[in-house]
Amino acid sequence: MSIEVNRLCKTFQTKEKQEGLAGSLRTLWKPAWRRQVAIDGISFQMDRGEALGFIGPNGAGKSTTIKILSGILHPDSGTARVLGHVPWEARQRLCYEIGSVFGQRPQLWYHLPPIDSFRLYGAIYGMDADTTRHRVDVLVDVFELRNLLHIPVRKLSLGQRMRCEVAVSLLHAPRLLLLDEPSIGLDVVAKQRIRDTIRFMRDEEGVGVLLTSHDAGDIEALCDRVIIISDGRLIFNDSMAELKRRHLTSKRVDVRFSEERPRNLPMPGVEIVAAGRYELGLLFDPRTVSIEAVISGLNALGSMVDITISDPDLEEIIGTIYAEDAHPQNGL
Amino acid sequence: MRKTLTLKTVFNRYLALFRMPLAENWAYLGNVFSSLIAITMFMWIFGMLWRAVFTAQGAVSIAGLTLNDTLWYLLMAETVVLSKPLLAQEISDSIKTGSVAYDLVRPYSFGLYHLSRYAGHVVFRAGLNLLAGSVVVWWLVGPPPTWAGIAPTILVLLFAWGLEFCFEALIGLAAFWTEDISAFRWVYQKISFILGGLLLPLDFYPSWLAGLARLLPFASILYAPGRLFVDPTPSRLLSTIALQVGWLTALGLLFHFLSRLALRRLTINGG
Repeated sequence: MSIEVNRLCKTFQTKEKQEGLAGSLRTLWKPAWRRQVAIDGISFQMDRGEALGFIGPNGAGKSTTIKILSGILHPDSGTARVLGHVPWEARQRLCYEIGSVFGQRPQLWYHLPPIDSFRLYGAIYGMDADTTRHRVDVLVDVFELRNLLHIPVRKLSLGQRMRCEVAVSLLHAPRLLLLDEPSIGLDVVAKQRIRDTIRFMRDEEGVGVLLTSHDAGDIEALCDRVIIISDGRLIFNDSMAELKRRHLTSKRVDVRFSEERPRNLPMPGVEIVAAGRYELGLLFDPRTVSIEAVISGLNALGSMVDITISDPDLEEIIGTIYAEDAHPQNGL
Repeated sequence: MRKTLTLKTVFNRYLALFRMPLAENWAYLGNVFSSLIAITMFMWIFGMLWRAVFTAQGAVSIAGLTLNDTLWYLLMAETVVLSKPLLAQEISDSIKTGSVAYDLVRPYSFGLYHLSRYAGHVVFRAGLNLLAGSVVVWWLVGPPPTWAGIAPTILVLLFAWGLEFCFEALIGLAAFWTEDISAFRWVYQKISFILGGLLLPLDFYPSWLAGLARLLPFASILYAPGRLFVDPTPSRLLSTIALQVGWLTALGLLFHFLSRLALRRLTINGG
C-alpha cells in the first residue's frame, strides 16, 4: 500500500479583520477567529504504482490533503501512512521517496537555465555527478527538454517551465509523485504534453501518482481512480469507469438535416436541447430510450447529412455530483 | 533514492546551494554593474565630504582617525551593506507565495539552506564591491594605512555577515506571524545604520553613545571590520571576535528556536 488515510481532519483558524482603523485596532486587541474546516474525516487508500486523481472545486481540501501527505501540515485528527511513514513525523526521510509539484510555485531558479537546477537538486538529494547526468538524460528525452535545458527559466513559456518543474520533481527517482494542480493555467497542447509525460513515467518506472486538479481532463487522461471531494468531505471514490457508469445517465445526439427540419418531434423520452433551422440537439436516457430508436426516429424526419453521438463532459458529470452533494435528498 | 548521509554528501549539498547565487550573479552582470556604480559613487561622495570636513577642522586626525583611515573604514562598512542579498524579503515572499512548501519537502535544514545561498551571494558581490571601492578610495586618499589588517578583517567580515544573516533571517521569519515585514526592515536598517556606524565611524560620536553602540550587534556588523582594517592590533581583533561570537551565538540560537517555532506554526496552522 502506498498511501493509507483514515478519518483525517484539518481545521484552519483565520483571523477575521474588521473594517476601518477602529476595526483594525480592535482586531489587534481582541482578534476574532474564524474556524474553517478544510478536510472533514476523509479516508482512502492508494496502491503502489496507482494513479489516483483528486478532484474538487477551489477550497474543497485537495491541497490540504496533499500537504498533509507530504508532511508539511499536521492533521488535527486521524491517521495517515505514506510509503510506510507517518508523513508529519518522518518528513525528512519521506522526502527522498516522494517528488512534489505545488501548482505554479517555482522550484527552478528563475534566472538560471533548468540544467543548473537539475544539478543542484541532484546534489541536494545526495546523487553523484554521473547518476545525476544519467537521470537528467532520461528526463530530457521523456519530457523533450533538449532545447530548453540551457535557456534561463524566466525566458521559458509556462508550458515549458511546467514540464521542467515536473521533470525536476522526478530527478531523485521518487516512488510517489504528488502533483498539486500541475496543469493550472496551461493551454490545451501544453496540458496534453504534461499528461503524456506523467503517464509515460508512471508506466515506465511504476511511480505512483497522486494528482489534484480542478480539470477533469487531467484526471480522465491520467488516473485509474478518482476521488471527488467537496467541502472537505469525500463524496466519490471509485474507478473512472464506475464514475461514468453511475453518472453518465444521458446521451446527446446532434444532427444536421439536408433540408429545413420538421417542426415536430414525435419521440417520447427525448428532450430537445438545441434547435436551429437545419440542426437539432437531443438529450435522452439510453436506459429508457435506445440509441437505435432515436436514430431511426430521426431518419424518418428527413435526410441527415451529419450526426454525432456523445457523452456529456466529465465536467458536467462532476457538476451534477456536486449539486447532488449540496442537496443530498436527490441521491448519492 | 535514499542515501546514507555522509559528511561529504551534506557538504556537497550546501556547496551546491552556495554556488547557485554565484552563477545567478554571473548571469545577471547588469545588476552587479549597477551595484558597482553605487559603491563607486558613495565612496566618491564620502571622499569629497570628509575631505571638506577635515579641511574645515584643519586637523590631521579626528578622534584618532585620519582622512585616509576614515575612507578605508567607510569602504568596509559600505561593502557589508551593499553586498548582502534581500534575504528578509526573499523569506517573506516565499511564505506569501507558498513556495516555502518546497523548503519543507527537501532534505536540508531551512536555516542552512538560506545561509548557503546568502553566503554565495555575499562572496560574489563583496569581491567586486571591494575591488571597485578600493580603486576609488586609493585614487582619492592613497593606499590603506597598513596591509596587516587584510587577513583579520576578512575573518571579522565573515562573522559580520553571519550576524547580518541572523537579523535578516529573523525579520524574514516575522512574515510567519504578520503580513507585512517592511516596517521591521525599515526600523532595523535605520537603527543599524546609525548605531552601526555606516555613515560615520562610532569614534566621532559622543563617548557615552560610542561606548554603548560598540557593544551592540549593529557595530559588530558595520563598525568592527572597517575599524580593525585601519587599526589591526591583536587586542582589537580579540575583543572584536569575542563580541561577534557572543552575538552570533545569541542571535543564532534565537533564529534556531524561532525558525522551529515558525515552521511548527506553519505545519500546524497552515499558511
